[in-house]
Amino acid sequence: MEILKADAAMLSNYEVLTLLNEQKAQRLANEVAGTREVAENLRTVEFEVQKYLNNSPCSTQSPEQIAAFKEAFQGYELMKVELLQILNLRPRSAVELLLVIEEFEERFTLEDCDAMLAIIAQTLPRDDDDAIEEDGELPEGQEA
Amino acid sequence: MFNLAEIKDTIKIEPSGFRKKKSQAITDEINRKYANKVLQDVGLCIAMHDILYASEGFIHHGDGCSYVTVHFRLVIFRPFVGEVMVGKIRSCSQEGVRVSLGFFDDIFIPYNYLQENSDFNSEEQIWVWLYDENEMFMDIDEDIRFRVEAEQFFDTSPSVRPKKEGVDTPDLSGNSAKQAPYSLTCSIQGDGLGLLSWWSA
Repeated sequence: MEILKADAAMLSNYEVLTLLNEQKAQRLANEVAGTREVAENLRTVEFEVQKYLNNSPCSTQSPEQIAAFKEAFQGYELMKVELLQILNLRPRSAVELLLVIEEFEERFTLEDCDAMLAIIAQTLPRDDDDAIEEDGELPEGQEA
Repeated sequence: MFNLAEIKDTIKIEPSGFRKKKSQAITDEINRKYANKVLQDVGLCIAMHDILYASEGFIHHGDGCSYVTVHFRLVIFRPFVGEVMVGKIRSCSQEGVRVSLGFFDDIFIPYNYLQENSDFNSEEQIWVWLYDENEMFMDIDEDIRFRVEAEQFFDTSPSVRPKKEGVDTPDLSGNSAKQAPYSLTCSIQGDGLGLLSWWSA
């Protein structure tokens, strides 16, 4: 075994979830009763990663949303990892946003912060946004 | 959080795999070999992403298997230092807090990386953050947001230690150590870090 490149590219949570779902669907489609066996280790990690990602904001994202999200953020000079983190974590408050952007105060203004949060809420809509505004708490079983 | 690693390896396809399509047979073998395993200094392998190149299969003398040289890409879990993630509290102890992502458990927040003014409640065996006279409990199974501070790789492959004097048998006790091959040291010091419920209201 030879490692050619340890970090050839970064993947967003959404891409990983899509890949796992597709692989699994393809495997099921190819399956002829009792003829295909799936390695135990793959099944374990696949199941657990899917479970984790399905509980994360990426579960409701789509390629169109992500394209719109990238487009809208073009005006801000953000690093790739910062964009990726915003996409993966989907901050809904200023304190969450400042966490993933380094030295926010020096690079951006407070208006930028509000604008960014508005973009996030608009381009990556989630059903549980309203629920939080109403009772100020996360509904059971959902992650922020 | 996740990235791609490009790897070259010789994959062995057993004769029972010859009825599958070649790409499928290679994919299955790669997944069997790598999925859910830690590669030193690379990270935790999740699944194969795609095949970049595959040679013809070679059959060696005295062995019915087909050997194929494959260049492929794997999905790897390896958060960068400074990355923020969300997980669940698995356990608390005097030393700190253990966090799990479900598929990855070796995440540890040492006590000196907890929020300032945190205290260990020995009766309930959980950590408590004392903030403005409020007691914020860090209960098991709560969602927690944390930042990666450091990563450690530990080679767990079997090794024979140098022989001790007067002992004939090789000392293999080191091999049974329960050290994780890949673990993360994390912190929840700072605004926005810690239990999600602390910051959502």
